[in-house]
Amino acid sequence: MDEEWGAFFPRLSRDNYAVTSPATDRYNCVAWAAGYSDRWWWPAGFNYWPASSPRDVSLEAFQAAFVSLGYASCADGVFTEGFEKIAIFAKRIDSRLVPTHVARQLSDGSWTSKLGPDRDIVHQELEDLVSDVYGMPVAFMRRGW
Amino acid sequence: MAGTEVRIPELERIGVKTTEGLSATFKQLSEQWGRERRFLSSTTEMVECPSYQRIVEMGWSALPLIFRQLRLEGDDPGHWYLALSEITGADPVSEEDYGHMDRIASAWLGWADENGYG
Repeated sequence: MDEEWGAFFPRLSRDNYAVTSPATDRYNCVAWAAGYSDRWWWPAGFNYWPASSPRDVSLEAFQAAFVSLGYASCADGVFTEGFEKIAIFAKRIDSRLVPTHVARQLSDGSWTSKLGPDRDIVHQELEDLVSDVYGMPVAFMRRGW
Repeated sequence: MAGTEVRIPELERIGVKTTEGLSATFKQLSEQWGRERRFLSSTTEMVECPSYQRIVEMGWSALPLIFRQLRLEGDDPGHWYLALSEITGADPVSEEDYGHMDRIASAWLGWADENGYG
């Protein structure tokens, strides 16, 4: 395990994740969850964001972006045969939920996350990334495979 | 004091008094920003990092160093456009290139050439 990661993500351990890419600034977690590895998605600044979705850093904007990709809201991140799920992480700041991270569920029920400009990892549980950096998963969406 | 003395108010405010001091301070802040933004997808949070704020405080004096760093990073450039746009107020990036870090870097390096930072 990358020793430094433990300081940021205390629930990651040698046994519950694997690194699956080199570090790069080419794409981020939102792009990766949406299936892209050639651009940085964020609803602000000079970043890509779907034209049909609001350009503000809100949970609603993130949900609208994934609706544009065919996702619909669902109750949780429990693996459901036939569906691909994403989870939106957020931190509560001044009573607002501010999105920080998006993870995508794989067909075996594990999750894949791009960690900012750092690497992609596959992790067993969403809770593995609960931290001061990302907060916690607050919204779930799914679409058919 | 080693190096060529510089007397620029925005640099004096952050304790930089020589050209060597400017390069060393930029290198230290650049590395610190790399650590602070390491796991951040949010460019909104990236610009709140203390190291980023200090780079922006360096003002136009930081531009040659930022462009040099951008050239060094080649086809996987970092988010230097954030500081470049904040320092210069310029907007050389086409909307269709938003999110494509290599194209954004190319646009800024073109701006650098046109504005004497080539």
